[in-house]
Amino acid sequence: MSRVGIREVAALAGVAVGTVSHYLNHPDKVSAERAERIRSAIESLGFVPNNAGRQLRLGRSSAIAYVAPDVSNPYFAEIAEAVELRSAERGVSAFIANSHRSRDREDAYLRFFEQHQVLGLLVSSHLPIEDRLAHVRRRGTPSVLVGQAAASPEQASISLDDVEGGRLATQHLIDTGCRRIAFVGGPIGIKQVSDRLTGASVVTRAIAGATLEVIDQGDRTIRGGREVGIQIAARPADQRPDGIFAANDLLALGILQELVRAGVQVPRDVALIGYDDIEYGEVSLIPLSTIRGRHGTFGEATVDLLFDEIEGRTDGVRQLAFTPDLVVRESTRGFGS
Amino acid sequence: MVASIRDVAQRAGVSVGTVSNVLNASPRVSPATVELVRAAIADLGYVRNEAARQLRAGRSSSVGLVVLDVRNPFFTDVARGAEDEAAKLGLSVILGNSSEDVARESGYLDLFEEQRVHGILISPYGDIEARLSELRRRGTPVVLVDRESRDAGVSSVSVDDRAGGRLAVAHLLATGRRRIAFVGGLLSVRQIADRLIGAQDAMAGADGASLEVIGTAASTVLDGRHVGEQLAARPAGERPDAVFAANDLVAVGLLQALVMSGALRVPQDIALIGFDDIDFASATVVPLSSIRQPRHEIGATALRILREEAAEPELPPRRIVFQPELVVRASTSR
Repeated sequence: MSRVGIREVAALAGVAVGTVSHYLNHPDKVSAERAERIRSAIESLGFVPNNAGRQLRLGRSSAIAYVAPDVSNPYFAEIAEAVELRSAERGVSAFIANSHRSRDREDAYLRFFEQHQVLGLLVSSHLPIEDRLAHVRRRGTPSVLVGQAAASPEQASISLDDVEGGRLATQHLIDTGCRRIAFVGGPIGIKQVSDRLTGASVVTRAIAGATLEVIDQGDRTIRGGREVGIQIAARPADQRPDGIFAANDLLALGILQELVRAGVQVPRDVALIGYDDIEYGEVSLIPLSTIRGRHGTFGEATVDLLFDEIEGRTDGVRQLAFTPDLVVRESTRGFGS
Repeated sequence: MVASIRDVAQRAGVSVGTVSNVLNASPRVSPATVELVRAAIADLGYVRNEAARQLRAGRSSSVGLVVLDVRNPFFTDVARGAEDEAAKLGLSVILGNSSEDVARESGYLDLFEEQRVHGILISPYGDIEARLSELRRRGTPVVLVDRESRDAGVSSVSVDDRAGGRLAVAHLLATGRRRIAFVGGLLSVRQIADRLIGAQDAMAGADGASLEVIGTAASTVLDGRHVGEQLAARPAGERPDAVFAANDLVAVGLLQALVMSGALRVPQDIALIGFDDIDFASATVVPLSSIRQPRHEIGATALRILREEAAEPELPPRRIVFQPELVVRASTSR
């Protein structure tokens, strides 16, 4: 079962190898009669164009790729889906890969997609990545940083104003009467996390009598939230925060489960707000207040921005920043009542 | 015991490299040695494993995984199982989201084959088993995920969806429900159809009970929400007293709509059970009963089988079927 090559196709179709090659690259430029013979030879031999060779001739594959930390977080899954839909509209496929926050895996995927000559890369990362993307870009593969504003003017990015999001969430807790605020999330080295915390501290600093505690939790999942919830519930009531701002909705959902289980009343005793507005927040035990970052157009804008880069239209705005909105639900409504 | 290249070398009294040179028709081997090696090959009945050779020579270290819906945590958990297993073997996993679309599914298969991936795991949407057998024949190993293989050509790792459907509806009947609705779609997707067939199995012999089918375009939260709004708008006498949702996303959407309507209580007015037991099922406003599938294990097992088939293409295809479990929470307990 040796792999069928272009020579075998040419032999069976009774044409030159060059004609088969021509057919593969520009099917319309080969006479209908020959095209039919080649097509049927390809069919009966089960010939698959070797991508490496074909791409050398054609230049690029017809796919883009999205490298995300973890699409089991609905926040990234929603981006992945929107990216896929927009790509399909533009006639390209979108590969998705999970780095699972590992630098090694992230590098391996970047290398894989670069070697396979994708048209361009979309990358969400919690690691320092701009230098690596700059190298990849210089070698010919453009990229858009997703979810984080790029520092370099050369790097296209689409992001959310996370300082503003942190400010909105914390101001809302203050407005509902909370004074002992806890920020849950980590590590602070991640820009999306530190920006949200910065926004929170801007608010609490300006309010007399308000405090901001930071509860470091680098595992930003439901499980990580549960750990924090257990810890908060175990404190004497007067030492608990009265308002919790979780760095994402998954953390908030985990915290909520454990507070409710321990009999802590949300929002009467403790108000709780998350971040991202994932679709499970609305139907959680107690519907979750949150910060909505992305709008309907986020996925479209991301792919369109990448295509601007691919097509060399780099004279327009290369760094888009979305402004977040506050979404108020039961988890903060009625605090203290 | 199949003869290996080592056995041939030993028998001929030459090195493995020399056998390899003979096989590759290298002119550097003397005619006498060629004769020795040929005789050893004939004696031992050695057959060169061409596909395995190609895999060693030309395959990438990435596995392609095509899922139906990247927003469904069931698939991201399956992917995680495959990724964890792949990492142990020095492989990586690339995802393609078919979004329940035949053209996109087909596009990803083409792309993965062209990229010469190590192999393909796919939760199929269209009727593509013949195409997958063909892929396998051409040297790309394929394993079906979350759907049992029908023809003998391809391995599969799945859950007994029909048994799951039976468990769900038997539970609703056992808790006193009589007007049951099945909500989900497309019904042409085999996994969904099997859950419905299982529901029908459970209905057989349940006196005075009825099963209504409400088909949806897909099985997402939004589909569930639309049906929930319709159910809430019906006169009380025309509503089901229990809903079996084809997956947890549909159940979550139904719950959203029923709770928002303010007029209906879950489970008092309508009991609700989903399928998959995703992590969010226990965190909903009314914790959801569900049918649990071993998601991580499905992905890990599929990856292991794929790896074995890549190393040994002559292995016969296998069908692994996991049994689902009923998980009872507040959404079905009175």
